[in-house]
Amino acid sequence: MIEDVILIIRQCLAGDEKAWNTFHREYSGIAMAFLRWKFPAIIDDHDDIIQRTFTNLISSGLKNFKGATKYEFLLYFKTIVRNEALRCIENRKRRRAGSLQNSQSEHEDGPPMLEIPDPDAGSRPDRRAEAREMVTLLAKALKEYALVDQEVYLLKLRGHMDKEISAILDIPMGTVAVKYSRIKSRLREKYDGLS
Amino acid sequence: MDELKAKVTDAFNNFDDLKTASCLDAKTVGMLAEHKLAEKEMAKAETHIQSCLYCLGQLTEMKELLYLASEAEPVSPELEKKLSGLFSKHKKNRME
Repeated sequence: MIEDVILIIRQCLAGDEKAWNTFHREYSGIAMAFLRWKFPAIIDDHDDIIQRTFTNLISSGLKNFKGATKYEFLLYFKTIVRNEALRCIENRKRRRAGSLQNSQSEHEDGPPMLEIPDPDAGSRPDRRAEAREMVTLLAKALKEYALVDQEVYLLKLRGHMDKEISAILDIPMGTVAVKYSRIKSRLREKYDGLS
Repeated sequence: MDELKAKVTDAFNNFDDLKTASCLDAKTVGMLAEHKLAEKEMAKAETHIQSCLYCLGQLTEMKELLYLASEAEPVSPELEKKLSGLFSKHKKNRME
């Protein structure tokens, strides 16, 4: 990853085409890796999402970025990619609803539509209260474990495989499985006691 | 996905509520993720994260993004060409 992305951004804003090419070559790959992991159900739209992300960045996104480190930019960049992906999902749903209305009478027995999981389902108001209760429980339960154990648990919940967690945290794969299993059992005991 | 896992996954969207004034900034979290903090700062940051679910979430996300960045591969030549073209298109639009 570009260490001095802040300088590259400044150069892009000053009209340096070479800097723009360095920037998009590096970050388009990151966007693709993120989309493949987080939004695999809309793989056909990944190129469009990336193009919209960079259109956004060149028109106002780079100018609006107020951070000073590559870490802040990475989080900012991820948010833009994610928002573009969510917009794409919304558009798909709208198109699907429209075409369903149009073709309902003609294709009663048509093929089932592709179900796109909603990655924001947890932010719905009806689930927030319950989630808060779980956060309290989780915070209390995780405190008892070493930091690396907590990271294993969270990464597993975020959908990573043992192999990926092993690479992210630089620990053996067997250790990942053991740590996750231990926290999971303990949390289940606490949760059952609570409910 | 079992019920407990679903509930815990939902909880991730509520981590923001836990943020306090003593929480770590993105730079510290990033440097911690890349093991670039001095020993004393690292110990202090780790002690905080150990009992702060918000910062643990931030650290996990940062490590995940740095991992994705390290695994990233070039996009297709067609897409790369389109992205390169955005620059001159933007320049032209600004001049008009």
